[in-house]
Amino acid sequence: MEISERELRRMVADSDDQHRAAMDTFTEDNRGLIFETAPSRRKFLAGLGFGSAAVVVGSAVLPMGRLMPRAWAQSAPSDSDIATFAASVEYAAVAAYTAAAKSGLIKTPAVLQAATTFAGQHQQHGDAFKAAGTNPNVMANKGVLDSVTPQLMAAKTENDVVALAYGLENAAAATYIFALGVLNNDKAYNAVASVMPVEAQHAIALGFVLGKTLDDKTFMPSFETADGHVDPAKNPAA
Amino acid sequence: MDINNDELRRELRDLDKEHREVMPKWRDSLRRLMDDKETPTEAKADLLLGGFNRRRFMNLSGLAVVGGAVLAACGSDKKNSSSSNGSTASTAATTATTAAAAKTDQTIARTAASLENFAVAVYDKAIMNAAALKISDPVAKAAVLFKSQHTEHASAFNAAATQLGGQPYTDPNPTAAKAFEATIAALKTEQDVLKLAFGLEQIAAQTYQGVGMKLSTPMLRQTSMTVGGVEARHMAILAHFITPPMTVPAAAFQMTDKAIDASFYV
Repeated sequence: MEISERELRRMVADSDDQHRAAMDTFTEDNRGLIFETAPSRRKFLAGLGFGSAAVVVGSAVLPMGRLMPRAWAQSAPSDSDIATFAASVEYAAVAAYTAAAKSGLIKTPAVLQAATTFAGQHQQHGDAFKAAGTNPNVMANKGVLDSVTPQLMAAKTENDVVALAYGLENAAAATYIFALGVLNNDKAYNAVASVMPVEAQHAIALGFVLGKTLDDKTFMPSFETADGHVDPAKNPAA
Repeated sequence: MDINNDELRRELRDLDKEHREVMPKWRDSLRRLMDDKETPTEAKADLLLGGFNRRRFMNLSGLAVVGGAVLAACGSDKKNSSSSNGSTASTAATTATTAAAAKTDQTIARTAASLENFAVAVYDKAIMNAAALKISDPVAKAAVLFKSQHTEHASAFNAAATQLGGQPYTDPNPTAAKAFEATIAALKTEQDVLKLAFGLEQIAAQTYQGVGMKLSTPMLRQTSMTVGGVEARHMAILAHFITPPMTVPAAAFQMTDKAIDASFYV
């Protein structure tokens, strides 16, 4: 059966109407997608920003979920809340290094010295963030500890321990890059921006111990990224 | 004239098949574009919105647009919509402040690009004179990598400057070039090169931290520190080769006492 030209024109017009209706929102959808790609404070909360679905600390994928205070689900965190979260991550790093030093697995004196020094620096970081934060009683981040502890217990060599610390330092650096995308006040910015480079340098020192080479992008990236950051939505400070 | 129905069905079926084949690739390309962390937002917008995006629209309207602040203010955050109805009395002041902030952002982006260009020039000199300076293979490898990374940094900062409405800066920073001219001319050994490079990386790292709150948006500050963190890593790697050995990081917090001042601005 053949169709009339009139029928064809009607079908094409219908199709065109449908297409235009869909495309009307396409540009707006894209605009929203593009300009909201940056981690807004709300997305920092939801962990959608630059963050991947999970963060790798050492070799474990950190489960993203439990850590954020319930209050954060109701409203976006303030800079002070973010500082408290950062303090919890730092205190978790202190705990990790302390446990590593006590494990007996670190035999090289220089590595043991580095672990002790870095633990002390993370303590200072935590204290500075705590002072800028909302919770004077903030403790080590449970989510990070839950990820790191089994790995530490399973470690058998000095390299295992150093690899765990290396992952933790890179995760910390990434977390601060993530946070910098939303912080507004001087105090919070200065705290994060003065700590982030130090975590990166910790990673370099540990990377040398592990024999990392310059072509390893986790060791010597062209740009720091927020990939692998500790997500406050899933790992809230206590 | 009537059209053969079978012919029409065949053509529609072919069109539909073609459309279905293309759409997954389009979705994949779009996803890769959105996930690309190095392509500036504006470039993505231009690509997808045909060069006509909200920022440029506002520029055409004579309003100065700065970083993400205005975008956020004009964005879909309905929670803030009620607070965005400012009085006309404050509009002129806001526009003036926004224009000043935009200018500062442009200056900082251009200056950062100029510092990166200077770093490229210094590493290039070391590479070109590696034999005379007796630069070892590991140090030469680091120099080659760092030169390429500083080239990428310069491109990124120039892209930011352009997006902010400024002009890219493609020369080495003139103030830095003059300040270090004698030191560069006096380089004789690998250690001389390492110590100079370490010093320059430290200046850069501290500068990108120090300019943070001069920049108008968190996103710009974040961009600055995606580079600043790498310069800090460069420091640590260079320190590894310097004798006597240097401790990096030397302290728990990076300072900004070695950051450049306004005399370096371009």
